[in-house]
Amino acid sequence: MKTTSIHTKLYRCLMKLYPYQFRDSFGDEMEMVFCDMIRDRNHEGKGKLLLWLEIIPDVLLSVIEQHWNKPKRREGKMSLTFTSILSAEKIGQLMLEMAAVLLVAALMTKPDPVSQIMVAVPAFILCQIVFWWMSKSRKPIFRKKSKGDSK
Amino acid sequence: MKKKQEKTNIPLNHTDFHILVSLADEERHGYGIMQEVQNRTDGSIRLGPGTLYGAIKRLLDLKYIEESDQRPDAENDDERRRCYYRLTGLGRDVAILEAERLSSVVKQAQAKRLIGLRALKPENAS
Repeated sequence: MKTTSIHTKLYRCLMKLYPYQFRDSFGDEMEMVFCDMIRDRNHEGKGKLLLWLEIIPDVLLSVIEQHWNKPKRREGKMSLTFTSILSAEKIGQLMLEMAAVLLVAALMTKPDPVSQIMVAVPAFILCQIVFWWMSKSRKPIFRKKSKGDSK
Repeated sequence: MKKKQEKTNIPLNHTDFHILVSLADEERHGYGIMQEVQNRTDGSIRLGPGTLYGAIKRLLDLKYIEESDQRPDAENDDERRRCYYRLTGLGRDVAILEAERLSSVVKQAQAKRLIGLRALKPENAS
């Protein structure tokens, strides 16, 4: 039970990478599906590391897809907009983080994939939390500016 | 007009097609769709939650599927509120068109003796 909640918390952290609209619409259901997958693994007596090996590529690919599709869906035919540049920037940032984390994991650990994953996954999540915190702390500055402009 | 719209989206993405097929006989929730696809394909296609809900979002936007208010599998559901999905008329038409397209491809492969070749090979060798 305790391990399941840890896995769910980790998955919740990863879900923060999705665009807000997508998360708002499907976040709860995705979490339910993930919990069902964990429950089935427990019943089958299979390890959860294999599940994470399925989940991480799934999250990364679908995050890129959702960020890529976000501006097109919002603004119809206008594909090159400020928001699309921002999302492209976010994707670039994500790819850089992944590359850096995997490089560090490869250098710091023994050359076996399990220990590399054990380092890479928490490091990647930590990076996401730091970037999320940084972006959150920036928001009030922009809000103040916009309030000042309106006055 | 409807036919034109259907044709522009064909060939369908294979994930989208498998979801439409899984909803062809009954309404299902996300995990139900995932399990049905996995069982039907003998585990060769395993949808993760991100891929599944990305496809569901796309199919909802295209109006090929819709959310259902009914809970056909309510007895087996726990206290959590699951969302069930069902095919729309348009979605069924698109699935039929795609199935027919794939069927014609299979017929072409049969005509070229590509199907059943593995079974024939040992006989040919002897």
